[in-house]
Amino acid sequence: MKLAAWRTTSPLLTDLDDESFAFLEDISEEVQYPPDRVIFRVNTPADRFFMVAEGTVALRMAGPTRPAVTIQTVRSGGVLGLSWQMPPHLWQWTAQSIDATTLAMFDAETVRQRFRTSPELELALMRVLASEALKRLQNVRLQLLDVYGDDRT
Amino acid sequence: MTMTDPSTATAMAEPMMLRTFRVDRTMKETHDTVTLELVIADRGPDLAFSPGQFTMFYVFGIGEVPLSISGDPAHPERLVHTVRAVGAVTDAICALKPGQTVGIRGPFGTSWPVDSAAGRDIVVVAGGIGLAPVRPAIRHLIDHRDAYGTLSIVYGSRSPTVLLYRDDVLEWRSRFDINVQVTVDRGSPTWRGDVGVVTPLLGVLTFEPANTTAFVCGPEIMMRVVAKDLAARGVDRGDIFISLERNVKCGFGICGHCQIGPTFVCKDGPVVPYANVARQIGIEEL
Repeated sequence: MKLAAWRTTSPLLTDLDDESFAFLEDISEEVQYPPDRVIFRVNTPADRFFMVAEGTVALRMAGPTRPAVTIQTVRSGGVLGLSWQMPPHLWQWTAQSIDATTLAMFDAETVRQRFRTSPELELALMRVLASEALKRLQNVRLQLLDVYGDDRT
Repeated sequence: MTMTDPSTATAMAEPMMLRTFRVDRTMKETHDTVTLELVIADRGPDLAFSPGQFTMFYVFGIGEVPLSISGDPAHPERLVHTVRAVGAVTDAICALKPGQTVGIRGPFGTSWPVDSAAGRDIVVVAGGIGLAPVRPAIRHLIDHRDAYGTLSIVYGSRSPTVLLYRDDVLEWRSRFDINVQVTVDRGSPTWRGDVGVVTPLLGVLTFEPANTTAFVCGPEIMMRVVAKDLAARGVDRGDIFISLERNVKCGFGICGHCQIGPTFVCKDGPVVPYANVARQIGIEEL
């Protein structure tokens, strides 16, 4: 899939060197989902990751006595899927398209194999993904603060 | 650094003078938030105000609180306040019925610099009840749409059930010349919009940072995070305006109840350039 349009806007791609970018572009595969379709499901193998090209994806969790709750949404340019990096390599959330969505999909095992010969790619990608994970952690902490809530409750 | 000082458009000749207004209409916005439309009951002049200013609102026999004006500055004959019930006085305000009279002092304070921002891209970021103080500025920007560059509005709320001014937001979203983004902290099964904090949505806006003025209003933690994010994107800290909220008592810089360091929120604010208070609002518990 051609990724040049997101080279300067997606946090996944902006800090990659040309060789690393070319590798990711080469292995990327375009996948499309209609609205309300599960992209990956919690507790299934995290063997891929994605960049959202178009559309919006919800990260959701359902409980036995309550309907699924969306905790975050990922928009165009955003990174979808962090659990492929660390054991147990299982998705921790369910991802579902909200509207018609196009994704660039990357095979995790192919990327991990490349890491063995390209520590530069591993370092660059891990920096990007650690930064993304930190941003999401900080954002979720703000959500937990419930800053718009009623101070009396 | 570009400094654009907020203006004090309407100076009060008699800041302690209480005027009487009559509640003309009330609208329930959410389970705990009400919008009141007031009309003058004392035969005095219209209460001209600039976007961002506030009044001291007195419920007879109960008490007085500062409230940002949330109406249209082009219609000073109607004083509009949106109030959330969070204490004894605001509980009483939310319980007011049409026909009852209240006391009003003001308007007080500085305003969103809508005039000096002409010709520039505008980013408005509001959180929760913070949409109320910035709504007069949005009305002005829309009424004078040709005078500005791109106009973006980002609104964050706790959940879909407590979104304010739904009709206004729908109207803004229906326009092709305004980029409106809405997000909630907690989605619902039927909510199909964004979920999460407001800052990621700044990344989908179109604006030229060096030529952008930002109006940010909401909980102080949110304003701090948004201001830092906008500054990191290249917007000058002097061009990012925030609306402070403190325990205002006198309303005109005498008592010092609302002071943050050298800044009197009632007189030097509530609208201030982020550059002027970035250090103070970064200090825990100040």
